[in-house]
Amino acid sequence: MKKYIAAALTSTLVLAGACQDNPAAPSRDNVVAGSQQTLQSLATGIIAQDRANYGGNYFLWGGIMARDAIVPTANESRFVTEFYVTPPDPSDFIGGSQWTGYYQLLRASQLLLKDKAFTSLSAADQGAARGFIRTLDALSYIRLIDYRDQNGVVIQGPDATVQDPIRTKASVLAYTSALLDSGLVDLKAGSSTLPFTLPSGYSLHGDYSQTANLILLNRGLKGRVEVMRALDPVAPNAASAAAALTALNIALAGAPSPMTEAYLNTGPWYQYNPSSPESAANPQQGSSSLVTDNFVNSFMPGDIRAANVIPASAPTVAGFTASHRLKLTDPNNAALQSSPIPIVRNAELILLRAQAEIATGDLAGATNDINAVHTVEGGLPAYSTFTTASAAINALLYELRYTFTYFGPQHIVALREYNMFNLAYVTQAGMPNKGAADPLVSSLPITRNETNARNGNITPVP
Amino acid sequence: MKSVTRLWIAAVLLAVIPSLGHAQQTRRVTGHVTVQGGTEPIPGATVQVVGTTLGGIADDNGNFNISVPAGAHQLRIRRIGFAAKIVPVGANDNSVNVSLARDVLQLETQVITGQATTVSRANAANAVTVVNTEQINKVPQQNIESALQGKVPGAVITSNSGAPGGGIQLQLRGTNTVNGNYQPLYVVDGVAVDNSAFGNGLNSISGAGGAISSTQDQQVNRIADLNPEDIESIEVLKGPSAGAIYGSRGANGVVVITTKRGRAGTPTLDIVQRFGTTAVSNTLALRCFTQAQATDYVNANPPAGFKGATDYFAANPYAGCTDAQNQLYGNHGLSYETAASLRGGTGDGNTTYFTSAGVKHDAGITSTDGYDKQNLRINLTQQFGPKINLRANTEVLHTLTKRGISGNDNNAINPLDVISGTPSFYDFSRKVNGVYTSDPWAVSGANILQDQEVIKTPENVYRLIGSAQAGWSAIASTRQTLDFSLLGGVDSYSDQALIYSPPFTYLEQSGVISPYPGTVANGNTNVVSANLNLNGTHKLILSPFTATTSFGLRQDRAQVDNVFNQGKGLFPGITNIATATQTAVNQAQNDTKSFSYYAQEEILTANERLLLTGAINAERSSTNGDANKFYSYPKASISYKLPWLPPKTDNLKLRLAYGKAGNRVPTNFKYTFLTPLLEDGVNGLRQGAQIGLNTIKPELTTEVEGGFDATMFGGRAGLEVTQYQKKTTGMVLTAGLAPSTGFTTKVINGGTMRNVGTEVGLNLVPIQTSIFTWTSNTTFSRNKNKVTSLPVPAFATGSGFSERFGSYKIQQGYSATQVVVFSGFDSTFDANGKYVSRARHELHIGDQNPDFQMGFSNDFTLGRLTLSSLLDWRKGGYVINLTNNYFDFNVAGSNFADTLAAQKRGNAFLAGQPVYAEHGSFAKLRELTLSYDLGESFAHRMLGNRAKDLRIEASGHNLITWTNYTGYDPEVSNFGNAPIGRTQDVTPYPPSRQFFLSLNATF
Repeated sequence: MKKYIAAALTSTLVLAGACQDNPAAPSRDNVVAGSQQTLQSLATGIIAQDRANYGGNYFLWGGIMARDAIVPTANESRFVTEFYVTPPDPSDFIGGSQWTGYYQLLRASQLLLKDKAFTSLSAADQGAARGFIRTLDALSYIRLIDYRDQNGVVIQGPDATVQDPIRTKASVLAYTSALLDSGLVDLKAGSSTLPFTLPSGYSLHGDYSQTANLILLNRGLKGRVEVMRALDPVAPNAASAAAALTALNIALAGAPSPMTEAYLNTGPWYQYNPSSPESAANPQQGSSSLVTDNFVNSFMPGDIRAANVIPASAPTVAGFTASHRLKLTDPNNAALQSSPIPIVRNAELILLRAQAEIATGDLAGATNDINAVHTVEGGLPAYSTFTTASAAINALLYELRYTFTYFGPQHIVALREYNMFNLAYVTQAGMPNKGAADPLVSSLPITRNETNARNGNITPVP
Repeated sequence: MKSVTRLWIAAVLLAVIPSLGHAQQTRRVTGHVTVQGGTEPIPGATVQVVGTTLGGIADDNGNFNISVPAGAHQLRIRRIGFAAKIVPVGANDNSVNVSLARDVLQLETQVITGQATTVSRANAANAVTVVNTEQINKVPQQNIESALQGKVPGAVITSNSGAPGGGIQLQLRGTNTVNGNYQPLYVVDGVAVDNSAFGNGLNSISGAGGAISSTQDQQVNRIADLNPEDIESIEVLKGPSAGAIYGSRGANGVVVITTKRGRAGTPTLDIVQRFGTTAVSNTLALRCFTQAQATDYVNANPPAGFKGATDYFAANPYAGCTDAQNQLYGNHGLSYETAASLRGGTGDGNTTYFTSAGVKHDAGITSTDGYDKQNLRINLTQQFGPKINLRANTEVLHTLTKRGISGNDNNAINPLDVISGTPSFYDFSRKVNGVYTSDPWAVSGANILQDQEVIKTPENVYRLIGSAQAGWSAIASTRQTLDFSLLGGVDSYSDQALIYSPPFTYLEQSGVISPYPGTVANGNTNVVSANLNLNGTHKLILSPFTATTSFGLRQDRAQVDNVFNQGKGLFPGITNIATATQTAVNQAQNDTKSFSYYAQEEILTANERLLLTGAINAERSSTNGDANKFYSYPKASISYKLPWLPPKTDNLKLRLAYGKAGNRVPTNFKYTFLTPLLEDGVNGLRQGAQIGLNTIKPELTTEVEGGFDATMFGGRAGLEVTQYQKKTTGMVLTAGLAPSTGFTTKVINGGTMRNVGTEVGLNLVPIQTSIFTWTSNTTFSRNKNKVTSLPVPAFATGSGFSERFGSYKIQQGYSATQVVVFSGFDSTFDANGKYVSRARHELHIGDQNPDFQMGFSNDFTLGRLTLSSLLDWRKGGYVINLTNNYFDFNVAGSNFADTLAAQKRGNAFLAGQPVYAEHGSFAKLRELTLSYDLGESFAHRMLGNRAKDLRIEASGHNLITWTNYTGYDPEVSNFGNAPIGRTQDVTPYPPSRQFFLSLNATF
């Protein structure tokens, strides 16, 4: 009898080994907290997330909304139908996009600022790092509002377990403006350089590891926010145009005269490295990433940007097709895979300043700024000083269209701000026109997952 | 832990109650077992002295020689496939001859009740379905899941595509889980075998999802590797009330597979030779153009590089109405299979063996696709004296699957994607100077026939499934036995997948996949799962009852290491990733360990009419939040054979079973990971999208199952009716979070789900004469699922493409497998006509799972001729037919023959209507076999005197489908196996039907 029991107990002891496992990926528990490497990893995580958010079609949707870009793809008709025929679906890769990644970045920023790796830095290094992080946070809010517009977005609070309300566009822009001001204070009090290394794109056109240059970036974004506030059709903020001018004048204080392409390109850029192991390629290339015929046909004579357009082909999808593409989208050009893309460059800031100047009645200033892009990037003769705001706005829209298509939604944002959806090139014959009341899809819906989590209550609150 | 150990010790003590087996005087009784109505011996019949543990097994000639206590007794003679019989043996009798009737209704089959115990089906308290080797191999089967289609009430068995090599989902009694494992546990000869599915890297060229490989790689779940020919029987334990003893792996049921074993006596050699072919079952009717229509079409819609019809047709001659589906999928290649098995043993039965080997090739419906398998099995049993026996089972196999390209893609590479956009007046087969032309209508320029010839998709699997079992008969007396067994099993395989797309194809040259022409993806997955079981079984036979006590412990470990390497930018003819311009690597790993104890008590009493069972299993697992905590899974059941019977009724048994089983927490759900993000050579990290739960515990499913089994008309009819209810609590959910929190999901234990269902099995022998027999088996099952509570807001889950097409949502009050669709929208405008807001209507359109399903199996035997058929009918279930979406919107005005209907559907879709969610009802003639037994004399003449039998068979699989579904096949799944969201039809590999001619010879 005893031998049976002994055998059974022995077997039990042999077999009943520990049941622990090893997690298959890094977790908070197995990354050494507080080290310089941790700080660098967390900072790079935020920066890389920002690049991923841009690549998640931030650069593209606005162009399609403004009827500048078109992606007639045989195996994915929604690139066309969801913008030209039906509203974007909040559950799919269009209507559900440009949301989650920004909030992941914002949460990552909050976690970094709480991490021992950050709190153990000197006060000056903390200032520089915090100023940079807050400036990137502000960029995320700007991009969220770019696509959600009056649908509003969430201002993310400190507690991940709390569902913060969806706020109106005006509220979010006010918050973002204050966030940038807070970042500016930090940057001014911070060390001259960041306590972590930035990707090479940040030093491609200006060294943005220097806090002095980050202050310029911060003010540039401040200008962007204030222009949006000033021109918000629903809740315009009277003081914002002047505030935008103040901020943008700081950001553009070093502008040369005459304007140079180098200065227009100055700013932080995304760098891409398609080779192993990063495998991050410039996202602009696409076999069906074309531009509309109207885009091609509307170049001013002599505009050197027209040389960037080449013939291309695409199937007809839901009745729409196109026959040209921008060179930068050519999928056969392998070199383009590592082509950098500006995050924010001075050309955009200069046109923003022109908007602020139009809003404050400074048409001479606006003409000067529009001409800076018009002559250098378009190779076109300078405009005479505009005599009306509408003339200045039309000229501004032209530059936005031909400078930023496939780079971002700047054109559709301005069309929205000036309520100019009924321009001829938008409503022309042959182009989709859903009717005067709702001519364009000019914003994306609140995503399905956000809506589900709120039991359908997505009305923005101030 | 301590309490479980005490329980274990108590079980051991109980099992070895001493002194009940005092020695008795015995004598030898010999006998002979034959088939009723003839002289054919029944080898392997079990002979037992009723009320004792004494007995033996009939040899190859049906003879037995056993010890019988002094005095008059009864002998119970049993053999699978025959009705058991009890015969008296007088006090002075020393020989007994017994004849057994064939058990066409399988009423006497032994069914599993625990890790080491079985009971006659006549007493079983659960509706365990047993499928024997004849039923499995009635037609040549690609895998065991297809062999079970239509034969198991409560099992929904669905093919993911028509591609060779398998990929089939088996789900028992509905969906118990949202995020956990949803498939049953497969146990082969005591070894828990892995049924994972891995991608082959197709995504590297299809771009359907993220990474190198994705769930859209048209995966094959690896149970497909098992060889149906080697299987003696499959027992399907459908839910926790039967499978509780398997602990956290029993919630979804258990499929227990027993392979063939040796038999004492003369060796028997079985050889099967099959030849066959395959054919596409269904193609879509494409639009045809007259030459004038084609000219108009091209002028209106010139493809890239052409101005109009003149230059287009100069380069691409008008080809009439060419169906590219037939060009690509029109192959009728030769399939073949050679299988041989040798079964035998020494005359004393101390050594028995079963060994088999097979070579199989299934042709695909394209000339380059196919499936090959080679397998070798050796099963040995050795008895060492009266107390110790050893068993060793080993199977080694190799499979090679070539499945081509199918399913979702974003690179205009899937043949059906290309065909959907190419008018039928273009001829893919045309060559210029021996080279296929580029399809000008495809953005990739891909010629589907060129791609099919040169793109390689081989997936090699090398697998070893082996077990060794040692048995020790510690006590063997007249009244009690105590047996211990120690079993170690291992299932190890290497899955080596290759995708090679050479750089010279139009596809690669177009830059659609990458600016670097040429793609290679190497997948290498190594899986090792092992288990060690220690079982003890004590049987005590007293006049009022028989008590069977079993107890034991079990340790499992499973390791998975999945590595993918990808290279883009290749030199022609070179597949070495190291030479590629651009490379990438993905890896996934996991390692799971678990440990469990169990104890079970069965009491058979009241003249073997009443069976009472109680059991408990306690288990811990490394995937749980607390890896050291044991979770318990009890079960209890009762069955009673009524002594009073209605007229014409032979037997009526009532049964009720209750059980709890778990569903193991998916690996790593307890962790909140950081996501690596690499930029500029620096490895960045941010928080992952999912918040883990460090207190996570297994889902718990409780099942109550009741029903009755009746046999009537002298064994000519059998009716089995079962009603069950399952309740899953503490569901492991990846509940949706507001993404604005910075996380998209959080793992929770919460919510409850209910499954209620009915299963009916009706077995009839309507005609049974000396020359003609008709046997009919009908199965019916229905299951209704409902999420009865949900502690978080409803959230989207499962795979899918958007709610506009149809997707899946976990929502209280609805089925977990409900399909929801946006069905239109309202825009509101202010007084000035300015857009204000837009609201969508969400429609709960139905369920992905069928309303009910039925299987109709009929065998007609006329002398030596047998005709067998199996019809599988499934009613209801919604499928999202995105293939139609491709064809509706490609080629201006649709590429379907019925352009008006397609345009109407497309316009309705653009107006927000849910037109792509379709009913998936179907009926399929799964199997049809005509078999003729040529007889022993003919076999002698043809194959020599050692031949015993020769049979010829003509058979077909999936021969006819009746359905209103407008796609290729309502069974297809773009995402492979999934509990929720498998019904997405995206340009699948078309379904096929198979035909075989077989010769079966026995020596």
